[in-house]
Amino acid sequence: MLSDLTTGFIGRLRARDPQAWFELWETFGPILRSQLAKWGKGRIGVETVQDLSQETLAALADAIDRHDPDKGARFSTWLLAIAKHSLYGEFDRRMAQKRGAGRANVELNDELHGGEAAPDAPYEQAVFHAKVEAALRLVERESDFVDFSVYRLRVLDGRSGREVAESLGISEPTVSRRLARVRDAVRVRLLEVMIKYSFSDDEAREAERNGLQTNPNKADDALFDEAVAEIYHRQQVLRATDRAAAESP
Amino acid sequence: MSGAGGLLVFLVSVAAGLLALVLLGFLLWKLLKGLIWLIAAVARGIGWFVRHIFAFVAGIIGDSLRLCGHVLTAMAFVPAIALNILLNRWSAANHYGSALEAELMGGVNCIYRLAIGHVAKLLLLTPVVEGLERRLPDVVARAPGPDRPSGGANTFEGWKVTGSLAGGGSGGKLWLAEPLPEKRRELLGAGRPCPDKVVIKSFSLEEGSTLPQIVRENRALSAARDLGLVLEHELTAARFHYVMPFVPGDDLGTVTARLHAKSGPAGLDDEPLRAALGYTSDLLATLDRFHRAGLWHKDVKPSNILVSDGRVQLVDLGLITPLASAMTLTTHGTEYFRDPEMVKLALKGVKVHEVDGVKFDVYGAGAVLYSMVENSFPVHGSLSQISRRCPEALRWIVRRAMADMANRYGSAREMLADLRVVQSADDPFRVRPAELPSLAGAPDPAAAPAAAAAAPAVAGAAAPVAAGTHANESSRLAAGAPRRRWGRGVSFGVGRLAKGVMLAFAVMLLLPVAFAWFFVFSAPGAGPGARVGSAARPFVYEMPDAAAVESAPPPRPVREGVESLQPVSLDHRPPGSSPVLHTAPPPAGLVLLLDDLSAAADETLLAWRAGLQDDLRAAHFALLGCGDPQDDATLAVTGFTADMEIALLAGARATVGLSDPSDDEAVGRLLEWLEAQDERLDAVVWLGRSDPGQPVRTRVVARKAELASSVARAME
Repeated sequence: MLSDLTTGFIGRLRARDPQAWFELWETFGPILRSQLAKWGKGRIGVETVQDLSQETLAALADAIDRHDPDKGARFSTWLLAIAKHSLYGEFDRRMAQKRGAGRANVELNDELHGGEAAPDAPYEQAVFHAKVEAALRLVERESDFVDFSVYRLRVLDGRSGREVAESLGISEPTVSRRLARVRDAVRVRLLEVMIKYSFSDDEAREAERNGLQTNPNKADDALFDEAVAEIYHRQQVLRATDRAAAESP
Repeated sequence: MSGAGGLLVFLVSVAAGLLALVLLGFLLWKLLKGLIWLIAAVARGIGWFVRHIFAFVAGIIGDSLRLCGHVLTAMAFVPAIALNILLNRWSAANHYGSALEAELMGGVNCIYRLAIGHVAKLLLLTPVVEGLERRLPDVVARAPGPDRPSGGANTFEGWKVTGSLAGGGSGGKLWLAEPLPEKRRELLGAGRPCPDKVVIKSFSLEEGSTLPQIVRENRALSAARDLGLVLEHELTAARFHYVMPFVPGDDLGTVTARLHAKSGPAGLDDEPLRAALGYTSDLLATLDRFHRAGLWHKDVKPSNILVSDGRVQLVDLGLITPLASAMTLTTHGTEYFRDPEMVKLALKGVKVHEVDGVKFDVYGAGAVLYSMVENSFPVHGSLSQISRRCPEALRWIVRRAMADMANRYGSAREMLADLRVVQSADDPFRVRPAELPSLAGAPDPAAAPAAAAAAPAVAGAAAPVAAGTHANESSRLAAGAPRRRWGRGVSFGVGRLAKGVMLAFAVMLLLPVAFAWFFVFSAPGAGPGARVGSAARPFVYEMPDAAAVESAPPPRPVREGVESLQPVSLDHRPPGSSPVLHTAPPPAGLVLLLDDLSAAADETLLAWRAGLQDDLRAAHFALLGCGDPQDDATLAVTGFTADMEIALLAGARATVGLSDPSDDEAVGRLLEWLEAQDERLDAVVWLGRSDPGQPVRTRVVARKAELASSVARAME
């Protein structure tokens, strides 16, 4: 069953709310590009990958109206199916150009249930990491700059509390307080993001399975920070790959 | 005894035998293990080799097939192109031509992989050719086009085209040109600089430019012209072009790559880091100038920044937008150097004047700084990690520049203030973020000029500056929002109370002084033109309103906000330091008036300037550069010719560039320029202002301190 958050978000997508589309693009664009580049290696260039990743989102606009939550597809699978559909569309177009024929339409749900778009583990991980990154970005935007700087230095850059305190000219207890404030915000936002981009209960519980307890006790703070930092760094690698692809011909 | 001895021998023999067996077993085991490992390794090696060969063969087959596909597809496009050309359908022919080009490029890539890529991979030489397929097309793509436009070298009147440059993404062609003698005379005669080389950006519908591109560039042109970045422009039925000074040098991306090549993989060494800080500092000063002129560059990125003689120039004027524009915001810009928030706002359909364009340029500057530190662009936006060697305070500056809108620097000048702290430190790595002005709670340096520009006495020409740059901050403060004071939240209670008490105490002390000042200077005897400065600021004049200027008979009308900056002279300039104030008494001499006020001078300002000239002449100074008949007498006395005078003026203008007299670096350049001129020229009086709404500033630059002092006194 979809949560209100997910339903609301889908509603915004259906209403063609540019902000919602931008949010989706900003969060999952790099994954789509990476996946499309992987599939189309040697057959499509970087610019085509970028065009296709945009087309994927455009295709989402059509697919979202036909989305049937009862079929139980995961959000990640849904996204992947549409990306693959866009890629196939591109190949169809190329073939059609050669043959002078038209392009066959592929139904999203046919793709889903034909099993052609079965996502692999790295893809699932990438989608999950993108969700964590989206939560971090939200928190960064709404936090006090110094608060988030403390969090960035302490958690994402792995500095000690003392180093952070010296660097910013504040006391160590203040560092701890500010850190706790941002960490709490990350937990809240993470929960929201996970729910928003999840079509199944299993998907929504992904955070906890990956060491991100959204309702933890004090002892879990260090583990939570560690997990966020690890995901952040992995996401950096993915973005770097995306960049390298963008730079290659 | 012999029995016991025998037994002992027997036992020892058995033990030795057992030990030998164990050792033998151990050795055999090790040998066997080694053998198994060896066999496994050989098997793995064979497997790897087979896979390697298979990958090679598969790659060759795959690319051969792809090559066939590209060739066949390309052949299919040829008749389509020919047919469309015959039917005079140029757009369609162009479309099929692009498709053909893409197919051919795909084919070339296949050939490259077949001939070099796969072979190198097979021979384990991949690192030798790594990136070659990217670098070569990149260089080819950036190569300039033909050296002459279709109309020949003299297509642009007054200019001789000598070559071309690779164009950017704006659809225009860039030509290198030199001024013909008549053009040089024309420009110098108008008192404008005439560089030896210029770049002509030309748009022609026949050469592939589109109407929207031309409209956009034309809109940006008026802004660029206001900044003095464009020498001339022309719009005809066939073509639109404009002329800019040529800036030799490499783009910042290339320079950054060189700095990193010099430093190594860990990041920039001290010297390259200093260079990067200098470039950023220049960039921010330029952006600040754009913003104060009410303009938003909108495409700040390394490839739009040229490094020439250690200084940077911001080029590509194609997207320059007035901050107060009523146009709808577009998503134009370059990914990774454009704030994603701008895209979001553009999707919402907001107008340009409804957003704070200054902050988007600041984001671009932060991304440029990031790219210099990391040698790559910030793919992660504001969350991008800085993994290479970088001072902590610089990391802070990058992050603050790329932070969310509400947390970002309010102006380029505010960012520059932070950067200069790092730049001026003996060891930038010892500067803590806590020591940066923005974190220490210093007010935004851009706020003061904004307030001045917003004052009612200031001419309306400055309105876009104040409105565009600072309206958001002002409205935020007006709405009761607290001024952002980074890092002060901790000691909010007691600290704020103590400050309040101190402030109240200071106000109580200052009030009587302020009243005394008011009564003394508003007394009838004081009148317009009275000096209102103190000993510390001796060159501040008061300007009456326009009506008062007409009726009052002052020795010289004075203008509110005119600020005489510290005069500088060559003999008081310590090597490598900022200019200093002179104090000694003076003789008379020959003075060049470098007047940057003419373009937008009002009557009161002209009257003030005429008075200034009269005062200088009354003090027995001969003036050059005033453009009036008295100059002829001066020329006769000094032996300078009119051409020499024009050349002097043009040289001085070119030296100070777009700066105003408050720019110490420009003053330094002017001093050096003066030193290199004919020794008969004793001083330069520079009149200017950063933009039409800002206070007029004067600066005396002289060879001798005595003379500088004398000129400054005469100007009082």
